[in-house]
Amino acid sequence: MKRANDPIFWSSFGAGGMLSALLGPVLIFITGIAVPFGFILPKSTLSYANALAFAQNPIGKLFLFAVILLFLLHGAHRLLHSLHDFAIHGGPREKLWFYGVPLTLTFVALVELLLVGF
Amino acid sequence: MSGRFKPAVKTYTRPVTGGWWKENPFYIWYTLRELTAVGVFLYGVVLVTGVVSLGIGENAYNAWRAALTTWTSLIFHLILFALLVYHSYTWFKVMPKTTPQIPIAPQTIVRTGVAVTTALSLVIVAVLFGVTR
Repeated sequence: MKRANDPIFWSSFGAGGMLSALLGPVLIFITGIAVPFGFILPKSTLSYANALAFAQNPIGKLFLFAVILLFLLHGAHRLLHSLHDFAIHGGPREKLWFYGVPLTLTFVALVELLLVGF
Repeated sequence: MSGRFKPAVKTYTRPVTGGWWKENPFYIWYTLRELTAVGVFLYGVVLVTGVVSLGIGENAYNAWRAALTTWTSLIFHLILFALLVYHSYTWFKVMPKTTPQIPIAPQTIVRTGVAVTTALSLVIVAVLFGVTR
């Protein structure tokens, strides 16, 4: 039998689902609602200096990488399996896109995270 | 079509159209629950654009920040927020059905999940509020 890659994507779906359930709402509130409009938190929270310091910190770097990787894979995996509900029966071509795009985006983010230094 | 769901014997397969989920409120909520994945994915993309702009330099990063202060972005993020809140709630609601049999009441799992998420969110905002003052 051909070795299946499904377990990898199902576990990242689970991990991403859990991480986004716990942190998704508050992260969106902070970066997309509160900070840009100076509501509760000051606009300077996400200043260039602060964001750079966060991305250069090993823990901050790992956090950003994990959130990006798991959110993208969770979203894409769930959508791939939802296609079936809309009478689109995904095959290898759909798999290539629904795992290729999130992995490519994560790779781009990883390169940038490494290039900003430590 | 992949052969995964194809029955081995030639049995009658009821034709399924893409619009079945509009027929029943339960299916609409189910579909909304699955479509929260769009919100999770899009927020990941927002973070990727932020990290890339940060990597390019200060001007690019400030342009990214400026884009986040528009009304379009606010409405977009409010929708993302609503989707993620619904994802969070349903994730814990489904959890008792997906975990192995454990001697904990389903409602306890849901309530604990929602409580932990709320507490964690408040702590994170409070800590940020404290360190940025």
